Amino acid sequence: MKSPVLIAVVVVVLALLAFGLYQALVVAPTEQTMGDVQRIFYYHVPSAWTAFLLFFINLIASIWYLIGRSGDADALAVASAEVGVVFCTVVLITGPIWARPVWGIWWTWDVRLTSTLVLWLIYVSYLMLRRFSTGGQTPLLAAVLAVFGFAVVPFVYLSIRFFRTQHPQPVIGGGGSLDPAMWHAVLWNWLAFLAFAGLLCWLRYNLERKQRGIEETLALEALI
Amino acid sequence: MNPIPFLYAAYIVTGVIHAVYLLTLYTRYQKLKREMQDLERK
Repeated sequence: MKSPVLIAVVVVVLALLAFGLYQALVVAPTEQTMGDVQRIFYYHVPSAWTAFLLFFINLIASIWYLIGRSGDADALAVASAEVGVVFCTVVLITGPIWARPVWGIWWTWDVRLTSTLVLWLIYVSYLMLRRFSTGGQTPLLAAVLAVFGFAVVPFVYLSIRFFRTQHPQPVIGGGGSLDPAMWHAVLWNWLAFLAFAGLLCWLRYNLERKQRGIEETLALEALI
Repeated sequence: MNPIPFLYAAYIVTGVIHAVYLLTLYTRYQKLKREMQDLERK
């Protein structure tokens, strides 16, 4: 686990996260209406994009598993879903922390907020299925759940266009304008989060594969 | 309402969530390492 490559990757990820934090707290200009609290945006939005991407990877890995019954695809599906839930949790917690000083409330059952919570619950149920189901069909059931569960992702993203909501319009294609310095801060943080998510996925994927190797060895020993 | 504590809270909570997940990964790796050592002993 302590290979030079891993150490180099960890150093790069830490440097990117530190630079992203510097961009968000120091370089990005203060927003005129909300003031400094708007800087939550630089963690909230890239976390959401990262979670969506990880759920997309989970979808692709699940389809790959359904087609080829590949153990590697299944391990990738578990890893991406778990790390995706971590980033989605960040979104669901930083959102209300931002909403309280700006909207005056922690939470409202607005379509964007509710659909994000439903998305999180779907992937938590996916992980619980994987954790507690003992049958041999678990990877298959989980893959099917992942394929249907992903349908919520575009709904979450597009919900603020189709419904009247309290949530602001999307940063990309939402019709609003963002200061270039703010864009830099968002993109640097997204790059940092992508690198961090990639590292976490890689670690979780390797863990899953090694665990399966041990389980297979134990099963073989039991047969002998 | 002073919004600055909310800003810090959001950044700290993000760090804590990531740190807790890293800790769970580390714990699972340690458990895996013990299981591998047990297998080697057999």
